[in-house]
Amino acid sequence: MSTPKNPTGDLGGLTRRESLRLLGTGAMATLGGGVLALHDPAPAATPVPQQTAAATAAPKVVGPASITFWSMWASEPGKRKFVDDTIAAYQTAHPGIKITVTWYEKAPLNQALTTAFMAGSGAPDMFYEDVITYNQFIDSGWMADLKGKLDENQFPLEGFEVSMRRPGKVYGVPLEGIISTVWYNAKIFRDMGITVPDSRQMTQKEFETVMDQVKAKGLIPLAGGAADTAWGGFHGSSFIMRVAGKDKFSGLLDKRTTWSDPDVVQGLRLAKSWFEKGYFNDTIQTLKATEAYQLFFQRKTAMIYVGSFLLSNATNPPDKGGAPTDFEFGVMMFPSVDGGKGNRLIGNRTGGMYSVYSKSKYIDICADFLNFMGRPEGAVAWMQYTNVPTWLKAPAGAKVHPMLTEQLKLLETYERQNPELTNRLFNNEGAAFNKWVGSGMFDKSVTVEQMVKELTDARRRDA
Amino acid sequence: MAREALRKKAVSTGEKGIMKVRGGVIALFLAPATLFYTVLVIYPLVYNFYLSFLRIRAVEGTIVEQWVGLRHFERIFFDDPVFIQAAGNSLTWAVASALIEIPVGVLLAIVLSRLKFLVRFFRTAWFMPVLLSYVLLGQLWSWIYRGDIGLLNALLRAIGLGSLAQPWLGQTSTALGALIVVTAWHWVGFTMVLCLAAVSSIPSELDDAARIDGATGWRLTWDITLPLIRNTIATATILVFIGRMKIFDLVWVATRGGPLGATETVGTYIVQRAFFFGTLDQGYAAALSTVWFVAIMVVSVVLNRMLWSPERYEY
Repeated sequence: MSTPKNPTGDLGGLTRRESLRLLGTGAMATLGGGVLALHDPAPAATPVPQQTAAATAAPKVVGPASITFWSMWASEPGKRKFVDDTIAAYQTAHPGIKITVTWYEKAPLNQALTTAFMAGSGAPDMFYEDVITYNQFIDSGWMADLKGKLDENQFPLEGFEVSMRRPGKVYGVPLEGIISTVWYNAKIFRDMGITVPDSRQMTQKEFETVMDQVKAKGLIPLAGGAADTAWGGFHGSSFIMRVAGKDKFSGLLDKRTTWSDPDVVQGLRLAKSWFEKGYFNDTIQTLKATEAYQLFFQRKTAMIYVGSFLLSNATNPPDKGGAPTDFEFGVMMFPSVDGGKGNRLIGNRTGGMYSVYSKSKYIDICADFLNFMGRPEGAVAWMQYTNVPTWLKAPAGAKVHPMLTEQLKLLETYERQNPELTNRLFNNEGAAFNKWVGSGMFDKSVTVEQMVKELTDARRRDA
Repeated sequence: MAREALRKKAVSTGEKGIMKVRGGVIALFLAPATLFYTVLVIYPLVYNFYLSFLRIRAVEGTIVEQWVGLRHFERIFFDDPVFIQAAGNSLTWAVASALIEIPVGVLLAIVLSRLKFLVRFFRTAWFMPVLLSYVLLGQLWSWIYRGDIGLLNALLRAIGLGSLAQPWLGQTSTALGALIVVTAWHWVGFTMVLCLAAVSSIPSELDDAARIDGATGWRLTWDITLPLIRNTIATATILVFIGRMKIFDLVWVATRGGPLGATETVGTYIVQRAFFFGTLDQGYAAALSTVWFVAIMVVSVVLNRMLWSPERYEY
């Protein structure tokens, strides 16, 4: 029996033309089906619900409700404990309301939030927010205005509104306060005979004399980690704040102040001079900020200039990156500079806060939860679990870490000012600041003139 | 005659019916993969291209898209120094990697093909780095390159070359080169394996014939082996080029594009632009992606034309 002749040739009975036609038909069909299935017609504009007049009583909470909550601080046990305990207590007091928290680190959280908000689905009801993205989220209408829903006896909302530059609106609960101070190793200072003035602030000359003394002893005067360009930017902006003062410093954010302003240039020069004089660790360009903490805890450096969250890291067990139990801390102000208009300013800003999604079905319940979190016991619990300041009002005499008490005393003495430019400048200007000030400050080849030129050009491109 | 025509028509109709059924079955089996590919590759590609012409904002919680035509592309080419630097870094990386990985990979393949002992051991050892992820590599080499406690500087100090110790990833003059070394170390094993397969497929009779004609060692390699694996080398070169022009994860983990943009690649810049610029305008990031997609395609075509040999050797 002969094998039947294949009447049409190759490819299993199909000609090449027929096979291609088939594949093309299949592809077009699936493409069309896929496009139809996935295409999301432009959603109708959903107006943001108008806020009613402020109510003094807490809103009624109606369950059942299942609330999703995305928070930063995945690797910070104290803050996680605070949040977990608060949720547990709230759920006990409100049967029928379930809050599910998902923990993130900061960058992945911001990416996840941005993606969810822009997709219009999958966004959580409550979320952590901070200076990196809250402005764009507020401007985009994704954060609910909680004015009138929060207990204004418990949250210092006036200061918070000013901090967030949104008069009359409240977009979150300011949970974490950050106070920027110079931390020093009190034992090293004592052994070297260095005393800190009662005002807790040295002049620039006195401070540099101390750094020269420390350097002569073979220690690093000041630890830093500019691999996180945020820290490098913070160093630069602190000097600008000292020299230029509050108004001109704020003017950099709303473009009233140019980068070539003499006070701004002088601030950058002073910041650069500390690097040129060798006051920082050699590894500053490649070290992350949290790695710089280890230099401080391991007593390789006498001082470090960071926010109050250092204490939260320091009080972790030593085998988890904390300071030795016998470490002696001290805090003082960033030094004053000759002729500086901002010498009385202390760096103070809101760190982490919790906000509510403007399209959440449970805005009132979330606000009620945040009121619960912000009660006096909550404020005390936060400080005791985390050793970090909070904007929440704690009762007088609450027992907290002595170094936290020292920082809070400084807040009472000096005038508060958000010292950050990193994360408050956006687009090309923000990227240029991170690059040329945050990183370029610690590169020998970068001059202050180049920083100014690049920042000016970046601002022009954003215009 | 009429009967014969009828018979032929019946056969033809029957066969066409069988073809239709067979075609339907083939389409059914192809559909899932085609759907997958369309949804995950074609649709995002086309949508990204569309986004390139838009400026995207959110207003009161709603995404607003504004048509801006070619404005993004104009800015990319004429007013974006970061893109120019990133593109330069990516191209430098691609060229340097090709110049390092291809000759070394070919050499290792030829050595392995001639080796008489421990062949399997060396093949495995030289291929092992390929199995590591870029995230792991980034963490590993960040530590190796550290200025204070890094392994590289410790080795240099141990052999009396402490003057060469430096923060390899912390200065603009060495950061990119340091990362190029990482990717070369990572991928040379892949090139080696590709070329080894090609070398192994060359019949030994050709070598024998060449030896009879008096060719030895280097002449054998240069005149016989290399021409015969030319197309494999071309393929490997194109793959290396494309891979390095797209690189993202190693840089993101190790340096985030720093210091001062010295290691910024187009891949990292696109992500920075999309998520870390404090604006939601993903249209610009999409335009960057489109430009680079076209650039990679052009480079691939050019390299293909330059390197691929149409000659077919029959043996």
